[in-house]
Amino acid sequence: MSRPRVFCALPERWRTATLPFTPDAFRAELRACPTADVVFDADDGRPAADLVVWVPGEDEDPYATLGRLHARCPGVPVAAWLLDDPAWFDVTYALPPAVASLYTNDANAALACHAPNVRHLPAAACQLVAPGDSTTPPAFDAAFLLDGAPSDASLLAFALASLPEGARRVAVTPGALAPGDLSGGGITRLADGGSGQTALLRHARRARVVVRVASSPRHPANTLHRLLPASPDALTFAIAEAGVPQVTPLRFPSLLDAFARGTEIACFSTAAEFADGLRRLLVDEGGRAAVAAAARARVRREHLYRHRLAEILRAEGLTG
Amino acid sequence: MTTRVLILNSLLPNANWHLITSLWRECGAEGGDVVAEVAQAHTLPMQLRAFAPDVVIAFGGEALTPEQVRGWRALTPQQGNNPSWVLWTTEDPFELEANQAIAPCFDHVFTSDRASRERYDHPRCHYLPLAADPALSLRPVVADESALWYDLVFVGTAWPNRLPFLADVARAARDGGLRARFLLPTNPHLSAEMLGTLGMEPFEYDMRISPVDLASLQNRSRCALLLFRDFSRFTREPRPQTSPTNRFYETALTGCVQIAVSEQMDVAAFYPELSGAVLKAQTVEGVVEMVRRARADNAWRVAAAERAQRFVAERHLYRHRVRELLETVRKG
Repeated sequence: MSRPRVFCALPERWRTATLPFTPDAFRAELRACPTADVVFDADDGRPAADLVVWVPGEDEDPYATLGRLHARCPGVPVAAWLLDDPAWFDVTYALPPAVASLYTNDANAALACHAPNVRHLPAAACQLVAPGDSTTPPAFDAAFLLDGAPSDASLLAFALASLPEGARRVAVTPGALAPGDLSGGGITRLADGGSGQTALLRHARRARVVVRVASSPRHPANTLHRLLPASPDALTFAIAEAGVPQVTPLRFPSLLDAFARGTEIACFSTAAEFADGLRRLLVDEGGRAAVAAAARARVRREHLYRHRLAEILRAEGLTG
Repeated sequence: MTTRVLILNSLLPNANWHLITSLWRECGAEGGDVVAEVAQAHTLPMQLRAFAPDVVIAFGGEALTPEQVRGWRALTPQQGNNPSWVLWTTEDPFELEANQAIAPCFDHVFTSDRASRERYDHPRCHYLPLAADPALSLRPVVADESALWYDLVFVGTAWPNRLPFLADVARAARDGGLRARFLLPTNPHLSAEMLGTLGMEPFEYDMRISPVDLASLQNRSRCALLLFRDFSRFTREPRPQTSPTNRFYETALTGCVQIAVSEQMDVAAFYPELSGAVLKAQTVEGVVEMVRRARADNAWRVAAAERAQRFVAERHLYRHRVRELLETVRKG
């Protein structure tokens, strides 16, 4: 079987609110796919391809884009690839009949599309070209990336009471908590930065440990169906690739298909487990480094977008 | 001959969206004999024309009005087809009054609550329970105890009438060294004081999870609590369910042993084949005792879980319900 040619159509407006990487990083990642020749354009605007992989963007008319893609690559099947479901679910719900296949990062969204050509393809990371600035000491011991769930205040209060001496520099996501919740002192409210998930990743990289509680995405597109997420999102993989250990509630069981509990990610079901996991990572420097290294190695082995593109090609029958 | 089924989701947003999804997918399990599409109220007129269904199933019933249904029905003869209109209620007996009001607009009424069937003044009213969907819930029973995460799991709304019992179970589990997980999305009817009786931090329990994740959590648990709802917005009197709900079938398919806590309903009496495979308890002590039994005898736990799973897989999937519903409709 010859090496397939893939035309990847990326959007003009990138979904920075829900994706923690830039289009350039994503392009570099797809180019590194070991089983395909990937192009993003052609001189005459009509790339030769065996498959069009289309990533829909923000404020895009999907049917107009599809029309353009079919005009540019007549007769070539189009696979839509959604990287940030279920945030945009109401928009994407109607897509399957218009494409050959649809791949979504969210297992629940894949089922709820009511179409046989929809498959679950988990989120992943873009490999960092320069793996972080290791000479800069972390600004925080723990960064709490919270997104406004009603129970966030209780989590933060509990964590503050559990932090070991000497590891009490804490940063909290902007907007997650009311000012009154931050009255404990010693807490830095992280600057917004105005760029959604990319900003969160930047904050994560300034911390020794990240506490992440991802609740429901609240994009207006999903308000009609209120579909709950069912899979770890791209930020989870990006933080692992950035080499920062994570503590997270065991909410998405499929998280433990992606990472090994304890050695690659700290998961908790109870307050006691949360306190224990957080304390261990903060106190034990060697253990923390080992978890970070193991999670990053796992990402590079299995959870990069180049691996996911290779999976699409296999599913489409273009590679063995 | 192919039967074209249009499933109308009668409520948006719908907390039971996954039931619609399951029904749609399981229509496809009928080997191509049934082709299904899902419609929302605002897309139904278009799909009645484009899809030309043989049967329209209004699934749920909530939020529909007689005027709305009559309006839709008036469209189809104009469009050259005349489908059978079916109401399949999913919220009886709690929404019985609302469903009774729209029932006369349909050719057939199916209710998921057995005793509610008698409450409809309709010549073609049938009992058709909800079911399970293997794509969503089927998991291999976890025989290896070291792969289990919890001894006991309960995921459900923390209604005020459930809270004291759940608080007692949580306390007993802690005191008894059982690994329990409670995910209890809260609601405005619950004060902080009431929730405080749970003895847990809000971040431990106040969480919504998807049906896919619920199935995975149950699969990694020895036992699941099965509680039934018994109140309705139409009355202050308890109005218990009289037959098993979708959660019962779904949980059985995940390979988790269920402990049903109900004074009114005995699942094993409802399905005698499940005697010993679905447990029953009336008290907190009874629940703890059942979990301890499952811990003490893993082979028994696995056998019970497999038996209940097989029972549902063989007879209580949505594909079985679709077949029964369509046969009933064909008979007229």
